[in-house]
Amino acid sequence: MMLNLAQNLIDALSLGSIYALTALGIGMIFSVMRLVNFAQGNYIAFCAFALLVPAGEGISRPFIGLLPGWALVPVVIALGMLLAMASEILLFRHLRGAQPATMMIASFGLGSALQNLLLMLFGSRPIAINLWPALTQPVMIGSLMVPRLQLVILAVTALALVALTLFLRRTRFGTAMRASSENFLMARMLGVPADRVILVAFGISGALAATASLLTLPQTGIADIRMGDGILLVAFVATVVGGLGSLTGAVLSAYLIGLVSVFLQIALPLAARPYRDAFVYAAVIAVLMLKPDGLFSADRRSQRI
Amino acid sequence: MGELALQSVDLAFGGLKALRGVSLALGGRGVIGLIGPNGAGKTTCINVMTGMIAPSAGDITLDGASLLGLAPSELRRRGISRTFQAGRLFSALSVHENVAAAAVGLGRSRGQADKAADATLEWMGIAALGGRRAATLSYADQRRTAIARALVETPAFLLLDEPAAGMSQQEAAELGTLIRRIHKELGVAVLLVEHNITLVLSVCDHIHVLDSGAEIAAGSPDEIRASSAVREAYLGSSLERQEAARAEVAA
Repeated sequence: MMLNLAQNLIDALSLGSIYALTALGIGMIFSVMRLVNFAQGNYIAFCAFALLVPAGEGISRPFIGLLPGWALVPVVIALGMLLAMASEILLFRHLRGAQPATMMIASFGLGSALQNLLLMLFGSRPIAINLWPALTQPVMIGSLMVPRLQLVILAVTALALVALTLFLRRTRFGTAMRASSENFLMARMLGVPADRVILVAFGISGALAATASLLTLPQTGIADIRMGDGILLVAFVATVVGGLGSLTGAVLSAYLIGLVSVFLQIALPLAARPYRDAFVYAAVIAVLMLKPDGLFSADRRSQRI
Repeated sequence: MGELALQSVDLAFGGLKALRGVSLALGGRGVIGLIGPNGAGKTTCINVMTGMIAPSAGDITLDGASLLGLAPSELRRRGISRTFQAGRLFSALSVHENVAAAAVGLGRSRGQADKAADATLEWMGIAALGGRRAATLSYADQRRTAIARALVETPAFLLLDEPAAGMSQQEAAELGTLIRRIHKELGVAVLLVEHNITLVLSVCDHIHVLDSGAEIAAGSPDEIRASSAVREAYLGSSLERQEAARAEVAA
């Protein structure tokens, strides 16, 4: 029983980790520019397909995917960063000062464009990618059997969280970013380089999308043009439940949703299990009715100039 | 010390004339006070001098060169710094980080910004507050932090927008001492916009009085106290009220 519990807990944490990385990507952008970037999920799919060359409907021909891990990881992360930064420079920069709804719809447009680009290049059928098969081998921890991949997911996410925290607390751009996220106009007036701060935030969100992509691929074994959609939805819900603008809240809520999902999967009667997500979102609605600002809403009510 | 000046500035919002031919110079005559009833255009003067609002006519100059069209952050780099009526601190950041963020805005590295923030907090005698989150500060400490943030890397000009609002007489008196020190020890030219007339009369070397966007008087504190025009328009009632209140407290 205890063993089962530990196993499920690790499942929940690794599921929550993918959500957390994506929620952080959304949260970073939202906190500096009040944009909910729905293209974040498409960044994830883009990074997965970046491993392949277009070779016709459903055919897998690895390209970057053939690189050894030490080279593959930085290349994919760099591609994710470039894609996200390009969307800022080519699209969002031109919408500064627009209504949040306008920017949000633009991000839907961007996401749709990216998805259709992948559709054009690779077709609509999922493509098998055999990335790091060794990671799916289980390891024994005592009498607990854990897929190596789940440990990697936990470790990488922890590392990303620590690195991001250090970046936000200890660096020049981190200070600028936290000041901007609270009061953008004031920060700008103090001379904080707004465009660069936003560009760095996009770079980070792209790196997080690439990381989520690389951690998802070995598990599912397929690249699918819609693979980021489900993750995005949960991550977006997590940022709302966590209190938009609170990064800590987004991460904690992402893990919470991971936990609730996995435990509903066990606890629900067999007949109700297909409707698990309905129960998860019912819980989300209940939370938002009780705490409309989110579970961990930061004190963001201060006057904006 | 350079000179920052408003030169015959007009500002119209639609039909409303917020400023009418206002001229004002900072740098030559010590601490400058700017007083007047609500809506007289005091904060608007600061907004114009810091590049937040462009005037409809007239000029803003630094040592004779026009500053029109420059962004507030650029003016800050040239040494024109300000505070706001509501402190407008970054409430989730610590006091130290609030001050460091301003130094980062001036292009400093994080290490340099930390040192600059340390130096400013130390000079102001509030180094002990450094680690506190701004949201947890008392009102007076928020005001001090806002001044520290404006003072980091010692600007040439400091424009204070009602820094004593909400302070007790005791705190306002300490603020007065601080303003004199900022001018004397750091050589910063200060503009003080303030409703607390007692503070303005005791701290400033030269005072401008605005009413409905136009200057109605200017002079030394004694001249302003004696001016019948000023008494009539504004100061009399407010000064007498404040002094009556003080007498009451004393009694």
